[in-house]
Amino acid sequence: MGAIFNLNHPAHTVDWHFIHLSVANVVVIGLMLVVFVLAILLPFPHAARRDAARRGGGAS
Amino acid sequence: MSWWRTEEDTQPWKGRYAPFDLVKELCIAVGVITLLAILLTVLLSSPDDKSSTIAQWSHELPADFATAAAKELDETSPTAEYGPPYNHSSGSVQHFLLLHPQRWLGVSHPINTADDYVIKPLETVPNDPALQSAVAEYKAAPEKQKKEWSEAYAKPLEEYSEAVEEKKTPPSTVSVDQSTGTVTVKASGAGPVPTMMASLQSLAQSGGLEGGLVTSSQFFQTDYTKPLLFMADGGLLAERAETQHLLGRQWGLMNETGSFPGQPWLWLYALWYQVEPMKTSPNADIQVLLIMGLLSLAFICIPFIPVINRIPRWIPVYKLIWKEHYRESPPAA
Amino acid sequence: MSAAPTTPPKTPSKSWTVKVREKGVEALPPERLLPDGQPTYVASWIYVFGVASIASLIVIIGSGCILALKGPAWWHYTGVGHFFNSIHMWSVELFFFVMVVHLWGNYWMAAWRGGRGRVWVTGAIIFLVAVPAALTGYVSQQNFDAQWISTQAKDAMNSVGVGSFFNLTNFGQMYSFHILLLPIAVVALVSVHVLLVRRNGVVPPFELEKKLAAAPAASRRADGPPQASTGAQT
Repeated sequence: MGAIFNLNHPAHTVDWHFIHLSVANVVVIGLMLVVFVLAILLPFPHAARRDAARRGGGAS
Repeated sequence: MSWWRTEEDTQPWKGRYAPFDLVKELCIAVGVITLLAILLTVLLSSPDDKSSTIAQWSHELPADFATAAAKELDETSPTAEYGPPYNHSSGSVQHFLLLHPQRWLGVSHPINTADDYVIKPLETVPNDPALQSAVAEYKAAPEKQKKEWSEAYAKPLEEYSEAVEEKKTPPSTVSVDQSTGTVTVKASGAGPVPTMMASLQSLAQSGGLEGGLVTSSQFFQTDYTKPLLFMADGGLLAERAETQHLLGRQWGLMNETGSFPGQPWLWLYALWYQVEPMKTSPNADIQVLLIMGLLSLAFICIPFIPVINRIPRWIPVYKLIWKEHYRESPPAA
Repeated sequence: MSAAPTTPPKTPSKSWTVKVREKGVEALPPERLLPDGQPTYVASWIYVFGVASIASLIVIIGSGCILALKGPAWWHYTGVGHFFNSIHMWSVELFFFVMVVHLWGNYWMAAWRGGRGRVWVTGAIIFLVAVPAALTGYVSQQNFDAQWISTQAKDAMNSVGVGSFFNLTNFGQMYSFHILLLPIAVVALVSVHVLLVRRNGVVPPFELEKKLAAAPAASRRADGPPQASTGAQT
């Protein structure tokens, strides 16, 4: 199947002491950490929600 | 409140609610994930390295195939010496202290390597009187004689393999014609074994051995244990795996063929195999699995483990998660 | 069949059906099962990773169904088959990605508080069951990767005795586990996990305890206000 980027070649690796990981796996793990940090830092859209709550959208 | 159940004074929420559409959120999430998966597919596709076959193995690495086959007949191959669940040997039987689960669960997938990988497949070859006579002679011989013959044949091949691996000059007792995949072994005292092995090599190269090993007792088959273990006794799979960074010492169990992401969630499992004593232990698998079993149990029980269940309060990541809430309703002094 | 009475009898019923129904409705009344509101403290991007995990699972199962429709060899020799195999593979990567971020978030929120221990326990078990679900998929690929993984991982299975009844090199068995038994286990666990979240509500923030210390004592269970929604997104 024609992919835009061909990943069908032996992987490059990241080596550090005894740790030996493929670049792809390092990218995935790194992205997970970045996404987690962004998820807890980035503001969440809440203005509409707060206004609705103030207008009595929730319970007492 | 019992000692193992902390934070039980957490009160139910009595504050404000905001409108929220659960079903719409799920639909949006499914849409987003589907689009992401499609995007990754279009950009990167997925790997599909074709299977190795016994026919390929016997063509590309004829000496390696001949050595493995000789060891199967000789019952000195890794599979022959493995132990449960394949046979009653003990070459690969692991234990930890008093735990011997591999032995306790017994032989559930019996494999007799001499019969299953050599004798029975050769008996299916028709119209070859020389072969049939050789097989009959081998089967009729006493066990001691069989052992002498097969060892006499296997020994030059093992010396050849070692020499090739150590990049030394191979012995002249073995000659390999790479173009035809023929292996000639000069072994005195090998009886009918050279005839049998030459025929086995031809059978393998014709593709007949794949089917012969799978369809052993009935027409329909879905169990590839025998051909897979046979191939794993040779070097072809390992040679391909090394190129793809799939070997154990390469943290291979986390990896995928090519440059695709593999199973990064297995990082901790893979890590234990790289540290002593597991790294050089013959019981590495059971040791690592026991460690991971304990850690998995601890993972499940995090809410009940003292100190671990308090860390989220001590390290206030929660202040970032609930920053809006704290801004709107600061806690009591 | 006689017409059902318009008013159910008030006397206790020995009917199993009635008992199950009443228990279910008591634990999860409709407005708690499918709430249309959530506490205002649920206002962080970390909260989307639970529903993202469910969404990934849905895509995994959907793409898996298409692969199952055409059989295990199809994707090797058609472009469409390979396309759906790729969707299946990437949705698995996304599933583990979002599930682990969801796990991290819930750890740092100590989301097991307030009687929610079972939510954590079921979530952890889902992760641990998803790992062999993925493994059985990898060994069902019928390509070199499957050959290598099955012949290597068999040693680990054999070392703990599991190999005698869970044979990684037996394609038929592994395929059955992968497309039927383990998906049923994962879906059942996810259902229990989500229903527990609906029942208990999303865990309140930490400092809330100080604020409510002076409030009238409430029950240990997260009952929430009766007419409004009590559950929230995971």
